[in-house]
Amino acid sequence: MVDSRPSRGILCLEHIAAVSVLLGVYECGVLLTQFIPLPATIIGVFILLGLFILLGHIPGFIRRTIPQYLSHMSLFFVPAIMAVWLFQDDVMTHWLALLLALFGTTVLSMILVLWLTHRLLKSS
Amino acid sequence: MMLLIESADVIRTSAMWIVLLLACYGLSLRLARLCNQHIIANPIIITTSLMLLASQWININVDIVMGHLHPLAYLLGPLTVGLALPVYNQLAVLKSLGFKVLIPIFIGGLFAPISAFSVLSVFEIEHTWQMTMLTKSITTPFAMDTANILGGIAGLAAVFVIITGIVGVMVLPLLNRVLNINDDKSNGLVLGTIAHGIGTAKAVQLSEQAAGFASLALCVNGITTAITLSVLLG
Repeated sequence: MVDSRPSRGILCLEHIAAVSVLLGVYECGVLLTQFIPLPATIIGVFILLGLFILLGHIPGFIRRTIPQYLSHMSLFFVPAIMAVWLFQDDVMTHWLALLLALFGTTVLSMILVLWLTHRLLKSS
Repeated sequence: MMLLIESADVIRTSAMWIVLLLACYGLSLRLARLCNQHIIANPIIITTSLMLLASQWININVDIVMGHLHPLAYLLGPLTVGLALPVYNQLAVLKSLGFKVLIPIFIGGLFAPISAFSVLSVFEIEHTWQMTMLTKSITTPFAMDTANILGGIAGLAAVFVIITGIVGVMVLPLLNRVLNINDDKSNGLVLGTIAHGIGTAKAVQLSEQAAGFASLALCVNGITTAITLSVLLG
């Protein structure tokens, strides 16, 4: 799909509108966590997905802006990840279990998925 | 001396820490490009290390810095809701492939957390860590949110997820050779299911088909595993 290129002022408004939609939907998700035992973000994804399905497409102002934010999502993880510093001692004590859990079981699960996919999708 | 104390005070404000974080992030993106996007030059790891170094150098507690960065941490929630876009884009692929493609994602998506959880149980590691480990193969933002619901630790969940992703990408070529399975569909699904976002980035380099299968697996596994864990254990 080819978009006609909006002017800079319109683009700025589009960013504000798209971010407001995300904030609004997320806060709805947070409210709904009182009734639904799911993470607020998952509820939010379903609300937004439902809206897209109802509309039959992703509105242009969202399609043009949100992917740019998503590509820099890792920036927003950093504050939470810094907490690892506070768990240094635990990591040192449990290193063997963590190594097995993070390395060993990852390799095992990969073997399982590779083998299953290969068998199931061989024909198609 | 007075000036030093004053400037230290200025640095201890939220805005300054956010600016510093943005600078570290920019630097780590530059570094990743210099290293040809090598997996070890992961921007999240580099940015976090730089921020931890900065906080140690300025001699300020990490939890205080995390408090200053809270506005940015809050925005992760709304941004995660934006993942509805890639999910919507994968719906057509899912419809055309049907259930065959869902079976490996479901089984892998359940086996990975349960096996990792079992290892920590055998070693009798505290409950919060076991709960956190359950989220290791979900994409980071969902994993952090699910860890909170399960009574785990969000920051630790993110680290487990990232390490799992790196391990997955590094061992895949070896598994391809040992199992003699090396096609784009299998590689894409395994990268998306087990190695989530980091794996999907790798799949993009492999081929377009691998990338499509990886993002499908990432979306489906992220949502279904997060829901299963929250409903059963939340």
